[in-house]
Amino acid sequence: MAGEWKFWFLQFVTGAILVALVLTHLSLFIGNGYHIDNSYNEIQAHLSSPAWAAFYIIFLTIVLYHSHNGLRNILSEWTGGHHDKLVTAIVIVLGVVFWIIGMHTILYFLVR
Amino acid sequence: MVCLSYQSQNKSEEEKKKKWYNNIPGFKAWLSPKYNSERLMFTIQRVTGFILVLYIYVHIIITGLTTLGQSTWNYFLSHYDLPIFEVIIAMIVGIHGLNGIRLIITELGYSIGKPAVPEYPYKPKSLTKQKMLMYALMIVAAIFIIVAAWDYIVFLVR
Repeated sequence: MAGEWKFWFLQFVTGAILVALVLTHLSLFIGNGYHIDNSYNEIQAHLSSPAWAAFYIIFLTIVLYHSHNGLRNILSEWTGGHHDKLVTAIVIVLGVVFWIIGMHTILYFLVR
Repeated sequence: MVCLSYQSQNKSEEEKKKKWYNNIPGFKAWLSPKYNSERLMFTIQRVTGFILVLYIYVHIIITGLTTLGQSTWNYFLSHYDLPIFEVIIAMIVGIHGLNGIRLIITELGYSIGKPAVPEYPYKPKSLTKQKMLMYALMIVAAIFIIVAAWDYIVFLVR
């Protein structure tokens, strides 16, 4: 497709950002950095904070962009590059659906 | 392109639509053994990336279960909580991320040397100097995997 270099470049940029975001996310749970476990009260307290909600909105958006652009590359290879418009449409729909589910989860505890 | 247009002149419209030029190897080339370790890392990057996409779907849906209430969440935790699964995903994230850093470094042009006329031993920097990145990747990935495994062992013992 024309303009493919933009996606190639954005994949690097978002990947570099994701390294920092994923390390932050993992440090909460691995190594007992902040002693957050997966009990309901801990998750509620964690997501009720506006700062963490903002973090997760950015994280969700960037991770879904990065993963679905990667998925588009893989599906484009599987189909031999002959159904790129269909692949792009599938990937956008999947991304938007999971973005809505994720945003619902993030905002649920913040708004309530 | 000249060749393509010349070939397509002698064909009917239906043949033009059906004919796919088989010059894109697609995912069959992922597992071809005739390439080097960088090529193997390309395959690993694709496979781990695909696993992570599926994991992200599962993760978003499962964390979404918290919005159904505390009892649902506790029921889920008591029946389907698998810490070993999360630790394996953390290791996969480590490999994918570290190889991603290596890809950014090489594709921005660092560590692969400048174009030059090849001289006698014929060892271009793109295949020698770049290997240092691969060794660094393997060492840091090994450390990451050991840390994740150790964290899981500590979790089990506690």
